[in-house]
This record gives sequence, C-alpha cells and structure tokens, in this order.
Amino acid sequence: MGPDSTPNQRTGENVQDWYAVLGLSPNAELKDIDAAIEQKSRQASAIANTSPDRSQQIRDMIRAIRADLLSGAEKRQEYNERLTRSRQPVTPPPPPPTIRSVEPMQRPASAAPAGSSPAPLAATANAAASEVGRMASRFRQFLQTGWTCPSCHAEGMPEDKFCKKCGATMKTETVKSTTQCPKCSAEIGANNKFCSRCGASAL
Amino acid sequence: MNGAIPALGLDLGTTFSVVAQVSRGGVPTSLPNSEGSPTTPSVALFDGDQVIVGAIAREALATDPEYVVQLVKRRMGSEWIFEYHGVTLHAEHVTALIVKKLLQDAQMLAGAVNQAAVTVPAYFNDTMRAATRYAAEIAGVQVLGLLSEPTAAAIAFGYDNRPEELQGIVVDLGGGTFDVTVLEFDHQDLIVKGTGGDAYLGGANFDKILFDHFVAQFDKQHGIDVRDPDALTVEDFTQVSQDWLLRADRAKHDLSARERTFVQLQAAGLSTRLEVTRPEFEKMSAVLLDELGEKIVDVVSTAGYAPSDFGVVLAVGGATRMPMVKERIRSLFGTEPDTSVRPDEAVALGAALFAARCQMEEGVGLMIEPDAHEYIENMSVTDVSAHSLGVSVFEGAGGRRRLEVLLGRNTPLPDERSQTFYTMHAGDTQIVVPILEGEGPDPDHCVRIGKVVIEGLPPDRPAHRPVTVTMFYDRDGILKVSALDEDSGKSVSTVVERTGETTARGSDAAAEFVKTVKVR
Repeated sequence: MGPDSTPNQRTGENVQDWYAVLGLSPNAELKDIDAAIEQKSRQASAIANTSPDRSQQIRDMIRAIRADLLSGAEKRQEYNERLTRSRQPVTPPPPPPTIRSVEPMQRPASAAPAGSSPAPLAATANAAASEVGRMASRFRQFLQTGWTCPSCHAEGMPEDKFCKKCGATMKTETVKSTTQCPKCSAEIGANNKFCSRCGASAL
Repeated sequence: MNGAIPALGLDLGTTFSVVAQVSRGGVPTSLPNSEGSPTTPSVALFDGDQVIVGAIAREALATDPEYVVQLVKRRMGSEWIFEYHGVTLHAEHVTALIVKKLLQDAQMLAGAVNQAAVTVPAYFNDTMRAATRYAAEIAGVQVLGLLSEPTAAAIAFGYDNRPEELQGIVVDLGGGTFDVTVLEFDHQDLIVKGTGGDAYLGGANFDKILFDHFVAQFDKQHGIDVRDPDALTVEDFTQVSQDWLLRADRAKHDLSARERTFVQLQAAGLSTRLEVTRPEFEKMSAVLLDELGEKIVDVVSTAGYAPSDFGVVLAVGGATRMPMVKERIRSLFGTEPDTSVRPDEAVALGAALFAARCQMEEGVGLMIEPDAHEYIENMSVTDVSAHSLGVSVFEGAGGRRRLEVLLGRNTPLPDERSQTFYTMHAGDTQIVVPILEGEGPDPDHCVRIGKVVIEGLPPDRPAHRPVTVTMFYDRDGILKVSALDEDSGKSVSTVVERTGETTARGSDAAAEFVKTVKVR
C-alpha cells in the first residue's frame, strides 16, 4: 500500500501518475479510487497538528486527483490519455514520498532501500520536484515572515490579528517593543501597566 | 420532592469532556461515563459502522492513527475536515459525536434529560460559538444556553464558597484554550468585568513543544527529520505523529510530578531513548509562559484592575497543574492560586448550576433540595463579550475603510446597539453591510464574519440616504444583525450569515451520519 510501493515512477511531461500515488491500477473502479483518496484525506487530518505543511500538501494533491479522476468519465479518459502520452509514468509531487532516505542530506536515489532501484533520471526529477517545493515554501515564508493560521493553515500577512479564512487568532512573530520591569527586571511589553511576571506596577 | 430533572452541564474540552448535573441534594456533581470515569477523553475512533468515543479511542491513537480524531475543538469553525465512508465531517460533526456519547452515558444515570448548558472558551468568537451550539443540537441536545468556561468555573466557586463581596480572577488554561476572566461576586450575583485570552493556547501547545523537541533530538541522533516527506512515508509519519504526541503528553504529566522523565521514541525502524528534565522543559516553554503573563496583564488592566486587587485567583483547567504555570500565576498575583474547585470539573459543575438556573427562569421547578433551589433561583450571572463587533465603513467619500465598533469588547451581555450610516452613491439597488470582529480600526486586521444585504432598492435612489444597523448580542455571545433602509422601510435581519461554508455544512449527509451512527 501507499505510494512507496511503486518504485517504477519515472520522469515525464508533468503528468502525475495518480494511480501510482494511490496504489491502484489505471482501470481501478471509482469506489476504490474514492476509498484510496479518503485514506489520504484521513492522513492529512491526522497530521494537521504535527506538520501543517505536509497536511496541506496532501490536501492540495487530493484536490488535483479529484479533478482528474472523479470529475466524470470524460475527464478521467482525458487524464488517462495525457498520462499515456507522457509515456513514462511520472513522479508524484513532493507530498507523496517515494523513497525512504536514511541520510536526509542525500538525494533519494543514493539512499533508496535495497530492492528498488529507480533509474537515476527518476531520482533527479524527484529531487528537482522537492527542491522546487522547498523553494516555493521558502519564498512564501519570506513573504510572510513565516506563519500560517494555527487552525486552518491559511496563509496570512504578518500584521493580521485574525485569520481571514476561519477567524482564528493569528500568532504573529512580530517583535513587540519591550521594556524592563523596574522590580524584577523581566522583559515585558512596553505598554504594559504591570509586569507580566511579578505583577508589579510598570509605570 | 416533586419537579423536573435538572438539566445537564456540558464541558466540551479540547482533550477531555465532563458532564455534570445538580443532584437532589442540591450539589453539582459530575456524572461518570459508561466506563466509570468522570472525564471522557474528547477523542473519537471511527471503527467500521460505529464510532467509539473516550479512553478506548485515545488508546487507538497508537494502533489506528488515521481513524482517530483528537483535539477537534481547535478546529471549530475552521475548514479542517475528516472523511469517512464517503461523508465529509467538519469539526462540529466530530464534536457532535462526542456530545452524543456524553448525553447517552449521562442519560443512563440522570434519566430522560436532553436539555443542557454548554460551555465555550470565553475567547471563542462568534463562528466558533455557533459551531458549538450546532454540534450540541445535532447530537440531540436542547441547548439552554452557551456559557463561558471561566464564568462557569466562577459560578461553581461562588456556589461552594458563598462569598459576600469578592473580586476574583479566573485563569483557565485548558487542553487547547486559554481564558482570563475578571469578575466580582456580590452575594448571589456574579458580574464579569472583563475577559480575554487565546483560543489557540493550551496544554496541547506544551505537548507540541515537546513533540518538536523529540523531532529535533531524533534528527540529531539519527539524522532523520521525521517530518521530511523524503524521510518518512505519510503512513509512517501519521503513526509517528499520533504516537509521539501521546508520549509528549505523558512526559508533560510526568514532569509535573518528577524532575526528569524518559521517553522512548521510534521511527523509521530506529529508536531513541531521550531524557527530558523539568528545567529543560520549562526553558523550552518560556515563550508560552510569557504569552500567558502578557495576556493576563492585558485583561487585568483593560478591566481597570491591578494584579494585587484580587481576593481570589482561581486556577482552572488541567494545564494549570504544571508547576511552572502555577508559579507564574503565584508570582504575578502575589497569591496562591485557589484550586478548591477541582480544575478538571469546575467548568462542568458551574454549567450544571447554570443549566438549573435556566430551567427555573423558564418557570420549571426542579427535583432538588428546597434551600439549594432557592439559592440557585436567586443567582444572577452577567457575562461580557470577548471581541469587539462593528461594521466596515468609509471615512467620508473616497476615504479609507475603517471598523466602526457598535459593540465593544467587554460589553455586558445581552446588549443591543443601533447606529445610522449613510450610503455613498446614488442609484445603488443593493446595500451590503459587512460585519467585522476585531480590535483595531483597520478592517484588514479584523475578521469579516458575515454581511447583511438589502436588495431590490429603486434605481433612482439618491446618495447619502440613511441606513440603520442594529447589532444584538444575545446571552450566548451569538450575534444577530439587522439593517434598515430608512427610505423604503426595507429591513433585513440575520443571525450572522457566515461567509464561507458554514451554511452548506449544516444541511448535508454529515448531520445525518451524526444522527444515525452508533456511538459508544
């Protein structure tokens, strides 16, 4: 099960092999596709607390799979043709991991477990894909000084107090101007009337 | 003794939930669940054609991680979903399943009662409150009222201690939320003076800090970042996530009693034994503590008090058991926090009293001891709003948009305010009144929680015509807004029509799933 068990992924023209991602054959029945997607969705739900980014990546992928495979027979046929045209089955995007690496700094190709021997090409494409993903996420972080909504993982601007999507309180990393408590010398907000550590009047 | 069965108090916590009821003797008492425990973990396991809620579901985190949902309160009102058997569930549906279990078990002891008062964090916003009410309703509860958690705890304290005049503050640090509420006890009257907090700060944040520490230490030892998609498959990471979070929670509890604890971590076929000391943990958590301190000071000074003003400091919520949290409360207020109302149960006990009070208000006599009956009947509770609400307006023609507040933060509930605004353009056939929640003047820093739309106005309508907006905050902290076009007399009112999915959410198969699925 899972995408790891499909070591035959190769590079192609940007058509991702959802069947491989879902661990299904291209003529899989709709109900099996449904079930496989649902499983992915549950995984995304389960890791929403520990890795919001990864959870969101899976959600994005699910949206794409649904658009291609579950939007009517015609769409699916169209997708299947695109997939075949791209000849080589394709590497999925970063979220569905393909290879278990032992040393994180190494590229997946050299760290692939024994038994599966992906072509070097696949490894490069995979590495490139995840590199693009990483750059995109870094750029996003740069734009917004690194946060997403703690609740729905929507992205927000540094000065937002609440998430525009779900209304959650945003925790911005903005550095508040601080002052020292005259009594216990703790660092406290500059506008505080009282020290947030010892309760002494800060005025 | 004649009369009706007292209604229930429901405390739907982030990590666990409690049900209470006023006993015949007039004492609010928690009702044990069918497993015999007064607290039920707020965790649901989707198991075939049934849903299991509670301790058993929590155990399953380690074995069936994808089929277990926890910390769902943090997702209330958000876009988080859980898909099961072709049904898409939102946080309120999963909450409803938890309520169903609580109600079912309570009815075994309390008899046929389906009325309840339900608590919410004081800092919950309108959307989150409405989602909570909806969850209770589809689970078969007739909601007598929503009540802020710290207020509920204060009711329980007041009932126990019967103070004549006392200024108090409740510091409620639960599994997922943090509330601070300043209040005054005046005999049987409880008057909230100010509130504030954070709907995303609680014990779970401390767990997350330990989890992140585990990730870093594991990486240091084995060179594997378990969050890296190249390192762990989604299946494996899901397993690791749920398992390590469970271990983080256990370590946190350990460190409240001991100076050090050991954690065994496994991932990718490797394992690590990690030692965590209390000072280490406290150092990692310093950010959270400072945030707690800042929030407390903000609420205290906004309400016009000083930290030394309080005769009693109530510590509520499981996370206040952590020595570092207690110590921070102690140093800030210069007094020992009062834990005489049990931190885990105080909220539910207060909710039970409030529920009984609601029934009496409706003229229902209860099957409880007469003195208690009289006392509860004469209790009064005045709560306040935690957020400012208003509309987005333009500062003169071509001016900047800004938030015009109608109901400010700390407004006593219920309250109603009206204000007249003027339209900008001639020929508008439609008037849209955007409703905002937030503290700053800049609408971009506020949440747009909905809108009221007046449609079908005559095309020859001139500019600068008056429109009166009325906002009504009910006792549950839920908003109703109406807008009146003074010229045509056309009025539109709405229980804030939330932007986004909320409306679509209620109708679908999910509610049906909640109602029909067997819950244990």
